[in-house]
This record gives sequence, C-alpha cells and structure tokens, in this order.
Amino acid sequence: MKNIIKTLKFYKIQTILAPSFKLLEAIFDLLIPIIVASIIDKGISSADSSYVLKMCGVLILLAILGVTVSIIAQYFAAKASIGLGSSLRQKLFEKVQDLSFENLDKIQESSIINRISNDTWQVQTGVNLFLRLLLRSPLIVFGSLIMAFLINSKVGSIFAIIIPVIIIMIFSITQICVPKYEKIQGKKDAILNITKDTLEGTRVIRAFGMEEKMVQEFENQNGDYTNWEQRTAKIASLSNPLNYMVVNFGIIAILIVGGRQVNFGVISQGQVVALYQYMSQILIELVKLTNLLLLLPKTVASARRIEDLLDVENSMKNGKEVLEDEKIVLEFENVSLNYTEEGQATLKNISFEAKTGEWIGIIGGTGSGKSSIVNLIPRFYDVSSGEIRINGKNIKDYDWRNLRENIRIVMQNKVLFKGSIRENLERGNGNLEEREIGNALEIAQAKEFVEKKENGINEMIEENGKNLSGGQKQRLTIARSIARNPKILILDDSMSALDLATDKKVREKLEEVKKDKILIMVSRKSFEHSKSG
Amino acid sequence: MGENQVDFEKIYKVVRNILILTMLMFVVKWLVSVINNKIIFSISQNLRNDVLRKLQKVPLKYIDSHPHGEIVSRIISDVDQVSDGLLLGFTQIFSGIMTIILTIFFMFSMNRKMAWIVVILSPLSLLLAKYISKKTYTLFKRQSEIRGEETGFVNEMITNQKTILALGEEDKNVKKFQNINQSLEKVSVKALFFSSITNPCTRFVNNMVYIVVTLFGAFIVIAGDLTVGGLSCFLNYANQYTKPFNEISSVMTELQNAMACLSRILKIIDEEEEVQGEKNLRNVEGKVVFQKIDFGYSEKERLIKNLNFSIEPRTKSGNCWSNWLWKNDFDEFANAFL
Repeated sequence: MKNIIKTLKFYKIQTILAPSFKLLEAIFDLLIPIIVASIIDKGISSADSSYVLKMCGVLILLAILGVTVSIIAQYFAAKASIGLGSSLRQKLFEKVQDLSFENLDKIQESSIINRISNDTWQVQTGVNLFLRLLLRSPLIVFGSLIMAFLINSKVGSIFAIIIPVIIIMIFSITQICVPKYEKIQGKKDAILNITKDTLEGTRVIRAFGMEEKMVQEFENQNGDYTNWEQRTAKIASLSNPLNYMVVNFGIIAILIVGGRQVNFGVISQGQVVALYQYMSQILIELVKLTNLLLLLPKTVASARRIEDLLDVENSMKNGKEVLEDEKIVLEFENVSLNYTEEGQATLKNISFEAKTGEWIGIIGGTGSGKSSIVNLIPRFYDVSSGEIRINGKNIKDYDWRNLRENIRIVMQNKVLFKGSIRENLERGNGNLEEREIGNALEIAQAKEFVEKKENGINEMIEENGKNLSGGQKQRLTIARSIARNPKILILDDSMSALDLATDKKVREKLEEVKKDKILIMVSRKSFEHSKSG
Repeated sequence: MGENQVDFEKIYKVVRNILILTMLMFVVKWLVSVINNKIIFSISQNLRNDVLRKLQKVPLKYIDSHPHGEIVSRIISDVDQVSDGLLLGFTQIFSGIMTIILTIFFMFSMNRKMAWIVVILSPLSLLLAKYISKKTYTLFKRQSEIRGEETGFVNEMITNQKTILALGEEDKNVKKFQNINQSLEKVSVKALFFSSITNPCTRFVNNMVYIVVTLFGAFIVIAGDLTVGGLSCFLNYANQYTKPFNEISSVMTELQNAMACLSRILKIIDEEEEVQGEKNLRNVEGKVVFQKIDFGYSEKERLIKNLNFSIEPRTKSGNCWSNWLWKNDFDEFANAFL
C-alpha cells in the first residue's frame, strides 16, 4: 500500500481534518440523549417549563453545530478521496507510459484499462467512506457504551455484551464474503473481455456468422457472474436483519433490567429513554460500519491491483547518449533473441552492417523473425546475446527516446488515432510546417486522397482510423514516419495494402530521399526487393 | 414513575410480544432482501445480455463511430450503477413507505396535534433533498460524460501503447490525460460533495422536527394530557417516521444517478438494427451480380458510384484495382456489412 499512502500524503490536511470534524459531530450526537433525559427528568417531572425551553435551545444549538461540522467534514472527505483517486489514475497512466514492450506483452490490456478506469474509483469511494466513518462510528459505539455505564453499570453491561456480539457477527459475515467478492471481480473481467472482443472483432464475427455464439458465450459468463453475485448477496444480506435482531434483544434486556433499576429507584425514566436511544444509535453506526467493512475488501483488492501495476519496473534501462551525427553506421553482431527464457530462439547469430544511403531488404516467410530483427533497432526489445551498435556505440547506451526519434518504423498494424489528419501526422513529430506535411504526404502517395477530403489535412479521423480504407491508413502511417526525415526508416511489411502501382510510386519517392538515411524494408515477397540492395 | 411502581407483569407481556415480532422481522427482512437481490441481479443480467445481443445487430457504422471504451463502460459500469441504485431504492423505498404509513397511524392514535406537527414538518427534509439532488444530477451527468471520455481515451491509448512508445509520444499523452483527468477531478469533487451533504442536511431538518415535537410534547405532558412514557414512545415513532424520509432522499440521489446510467444503456438497446432480408440462400451456384451500386461511409462522400458487374459461377475473379478504388470496402460491401 506504500504508493497509495504516499499519494494520500499530498492530501494530509484534508485527510486529518475530515475525520476530526466527524469526531466533533459524533460528540454532539452523544450529548443529545442525555439532554433529552434531563428534559424528561428535571423539566417535565417538576413542570419547569423555562428549563424545558432552555434545554430545547441547547438542542437546537447542537443541531446547528452538528450540521455545520458535518458539511465541513464532507467537503474535506470529498476533496481528499477524489484527489487521491485522480492522482492514482494519473500515476497509473504515467506508469504505463514508462513500460517496455516486454512489460506490455506480459500484462493484459483490459486489466490495465480496468485498473485505471475502475479500480481507482473503487479506492476513491472506499477512502471517502473510510474518512467519514473511521472515527465517527467507533466513537459513537464506544461513547454510547461509556454513557450507558455512567448512567447505570448493570444496564451498561448489557451494552458490553451486545456490542461484541454484533461485531463478531459482522466480522464473520465479512470474512465469508470477502473471498467471494474477489472471485466476482474476476468474473467481471471475463465479461469485459468478451465485450471488448465483440467490439473489436465485429467484422470477423459477422462475416463468419458467429453472432449467436458470441451471445451464448457472453450469456454463459454473465449467468455465472450473476449467480455468484446472488449467492454472495444472500449471505451478505443476513447482516442487517441479524443486527436488528440482536439490538432488539438488547432493548428487551434494557426493558427488563432497566425496569428493575427503575423499580429500585436507581435510575429515572428519562435515563431509560436515553439508554434506549444510545442502543439505537449503536445499531445505526454498526450498520454503517458493516457496509464500510463489506466495501473495504473490494477497496483493498482494487488497491492491491493498483499497487501491483505501480510496482512494475521497466524491464529495460535507459541510456544517456544522444545520436547527433548525420552519417550512421548500424551494426548487428551475433545478435540472438529469445522472447522467453525457456522458449526457442527467434533470432540466432545475426550479423550485418548498414550505412547511411543504403537500402536493406529483409525477406522471409511468415514467422521467420523479420519483424523481430527490426524491432531490435529502435530498442523495442533487447537482444538476448550479441550486440547492436550505432556509430560504434551499443544502442543500450543511447537515450531510447532520442533513438526512436531518429529511427522510425512503420509497423504492420496501421495505427491511427482519433483526431485530424494533421494531428495524426504530428504524432511523434511535434509541430510540422505545411511544407513538411506536403512532402511527407507526397512521398507516401497520400496527397491526392487527403486533398480530396472535405477538410483536407484537417479532416477528422475516427478512433482506429475507422473512416479510412486500409491503404489510406497505411499511407498515412508511412507519411507520419517520414515527416521528420528520420536517419533510419524501417518499413515493416508496410505496403501490404497498396496496389502495385502505388507501391511502385512510393518506392520511387523513397529512392529520392534515401541518400541521407538507412532504409530497411521487410517483406514476405521477394519481388518487392528488386530495387533494394 | 419511581420506586416500586413498575408493573413487571405488563413488561413481561410486552417483552414476549417484542420477541415474537423481532423473530418475524428477521425472517421477513432477510427474505425481502434476498428476493430483491434476485430480481435486481436478474434485471442487470438481462440488461447486459440485451446490450451485447444488440451489439451483434447494430449497423457496423454504430460500432465504428462510438469509442469502444465508452460502449464497454455502458455494459460494465453503468449496469453496475443501475443495479446498485435499484437495490438501494427497492429495499429502502419499500420498507420506507411501510414505516411511514404505520407510524402515521400510531402517532395519530396517540396525539393528534403532535402528529400533525410531525407529518407537516417532516417532508421539509424531502424537499431539501430534492433541491440538492436536482443540483447533483447535472453534476453527476457531467461527471459520467467526462468519465466516459477519459475511459475512451485510456482505451484508445493503452490498446495502441506500443505505437505510442515507437513514436515517443509518452509525455504528450500524459499531458492530454492530465487535462481530461483534472477536469474530471473538479466535477467529481463537486458532485461527491453536494451529494454527500444531502444526509447531514436532511438529518438537520429531522433533528429540528424532533426538537419541536419534544418541546410541544413536554408542555402537553406538563399539562397532564400525556404520560412521560407516552411522550418517549411518540418521539420514537416520530424518529422512525422521519428516518425513511432521510433514507429515501439519500436513495433519490443514488436512483437519479442510476437513471442517468439506465437511459444511456437503453439508448444502445433502442438503436436501430441492421435491416435483415427474409430470403435464405438456397442452391448457391456462385453467381454474384452488382447492379448500379453507390456506396459511401458517410452521406456526403460517395466512394463508389454506379458500379455494375457480375461474376459467373466457376470463374476466378480478383478485384485488383488501384488503391483509390477501395479494395477493402469492396470486400466489406460484398459481405453486405453496410
């Protein structure tokens, strides 16, 4: 919990003030029954109406003070808990930005998203309730106990029995339900995954007529989830009725024991009324505490998931060197790569050298490790053995942001983001001048279709470039990679969606700009490389 | 009442009755909440199923034009919110209304004047709660809008995190996230604060009612029209009478939140479905005919105009046109996706 506590320290003042004001409120609440008792015993019995009026005035004063401190407390609680939730979201998001490809391969996307978008909210709600009830509820419970003892020790001992009974009850129900809630959370993740799959794979699902199967699978998981929810709720909902029952037993005991005490003349009628009120207050607070305790494990589980992600360390260490030379020599020396320790080597003893102005072609069948080679160059992954050098220095010594700025790779998956075409081209490139944009679009053969768009380069692209064709997306990703004239440009099977004529034109354009860069082209088909060499 | 005035026979009788009632209440309370759970969890189960089923039938355009994270949060968080709201609503409102009716009955049978005071003054807290929840509703709506936007952003970025790394866009991304997150924080603090002062405020009104009744009651007792036991009993009823108002009003904020979520869920369920033809393919020979086909993703932009051709059975055909002829769209089109 160290990260969360550290974050909460930013809101130290609010975190301390919220429960403190709640404490004040609780003290006022504890005073009220005593005053009512004195109204009955002193005011009414002796028909002293001025005393009744005076005491009612005190009650009104207490009510006003109570509502004031309570509102102040709610404000601090809201400020601290939401502040915590937002900071955690921010921290998680920043953490993900600082993860390597290897880290990302190991953590499921949906679980990252869930932690940012759901778990932080859970923690926020939990902490808010915690701050509001942490001091108040125990104080009311034990304060009532003490008050009861002050009024009469015999009746007080009833309180002393009832309170632990209720606490044990609450505790055991919580203990039973906690592991179940954790299981339910897991089932929820499953539902979330199917939903995501449905959305992302709609085209495939529909093309193969799998709709009914998806629905079936979802309904199964959903049924399972609901089942668990209901079974757990059955136990959890025992808690409230049980509490009421025990408290009513307590009230019965107060009636009998208190009746006797009144009969002996030890306590007054007003005091019995006060005792009864304390008992009811205890019940209300214990119910609140139960709800808090039931929410707490959910909160703790969420907090743990947040901590886990925050604790992940980047599997790579950044270097400090900056690549400034215009001319570049890229060397692979006996490079091998294993993605997992026990798995087979994806690459084995690869050695080659490339210089600025050269055009390298990498050809190979599906799964032969072509992409793996090029992914090593901008240091997406680290080599398992051997060395990759740029201008004589190991690439591990370079700052990887600097490295990736100079080495641009057009990946196979044609990722574009929601936003205008210009914004997409400027991703990773900073602000671009019109000339630079025009140039990049020209090389990627994208100028024509962009100009045809109603808003030109300000045309909005939807999430995942959904409103563009595959070829258009591919050409824009090429343009994005080339806009800043990188020193190494890698095209990883990036012409797959282009027709031969367009493909050829792109190559011709690349030929024109290749003199100041290393061009690496990955392909499954050899004819694409007739020009490379 | 003082020394040796306590009627123990009567106390034991009452104690026996309380015992029986307590047991009964235990069973009824538990059964009611089990039944409620059953109904509400089934409702949310059905809601989730309905949304997912719908997603299989809406036009692709719908799925393309809505951020996936937002749709996911409809199915997961919004449905949760609805079931939470309903759960609270059902349990509290049911027992609340019963309590109100019974306590009104008992109070009027004890002392009419005091009963009127309670009955007239108590709804004040309800009015106050309504006023607050009206304010919070807009705040909650805004909160869930921004939350949806944030979820959408997180979804898009995390899904494409590797591209972000390749482009070195980490810092910019953090800043963008921070912008959304900060505006979310501002709205959330307000929403949570205003919704959490509902309880203290209504409790305050109720306390005032309680004090007024105590004051009146004390004078009535002094005048000799009511016993002290009667007053404390009446105060109990008054207390129980106001409590449901308190609970109902806090439930109302929750319910309102749930309703906002439900309306978003229903919006998906009410989406228009893709039109299904009624004929089934039979004796497929493999002849495909395109006749005067126009097509575009949006109304404004026609990508294909007046396309005509046919493919005879047992022939091979490839659509090897240049890029601007939209190979992929053609495939999609042939599958009648749009």
